[in-house]
Amino acid sequence: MDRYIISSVRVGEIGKPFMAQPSDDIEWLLAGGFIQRSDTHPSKSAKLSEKPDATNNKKD
Amino acid sequence: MATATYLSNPVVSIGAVDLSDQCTSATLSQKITALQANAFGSTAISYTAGLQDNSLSLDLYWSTAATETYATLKALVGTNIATITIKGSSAATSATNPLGTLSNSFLEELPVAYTLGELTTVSVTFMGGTFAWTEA
Repeated sequence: MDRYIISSVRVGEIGKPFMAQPSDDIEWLLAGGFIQRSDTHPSKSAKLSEKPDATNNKKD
Repeated sequence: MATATYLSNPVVSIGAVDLSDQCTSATLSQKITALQANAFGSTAISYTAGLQDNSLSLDLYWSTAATETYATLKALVGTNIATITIKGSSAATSATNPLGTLSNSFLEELPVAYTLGELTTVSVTFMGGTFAWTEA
């Protein structure tokens, strides 16, 4: 689910999360610069191509 | 006899966007068309309720700064607006400060008035849609 941050005092306190109501036109609010998409989604951990213990640098 | 003075300082929001500080006048008309319901034998005109024919007219300063009047209204011409709300003051909604909500009204035009030596204004009318008062 997308999260939005308030970027204009016309819709609330700038920087606070925007709690969208069912009647809110999100695309219109985004286009007008009133809110913006949050870029603070928790990112997934990077996937390793190999398991850490499957490396070839064996010390011997 | 009036016993109180009412200072009008309403709050107007189009969708989630509060345009109160650009608004100088708001006229809300909650209307239901009257249909004549007479028949042979009637001795006086009588009416019954027809369709709602609500409207909300706003006079706004035409600010073209970011997230102001222009940014709010430019994309709404020719569309139905999900909700527009208005109430008498910024106090909490209550029986003495009811919130009016106009849903799915239509904005036909955006008539901007540029006048020499005056602040630019726009007078918009949101037509149609359903209207309801909320007291809580």
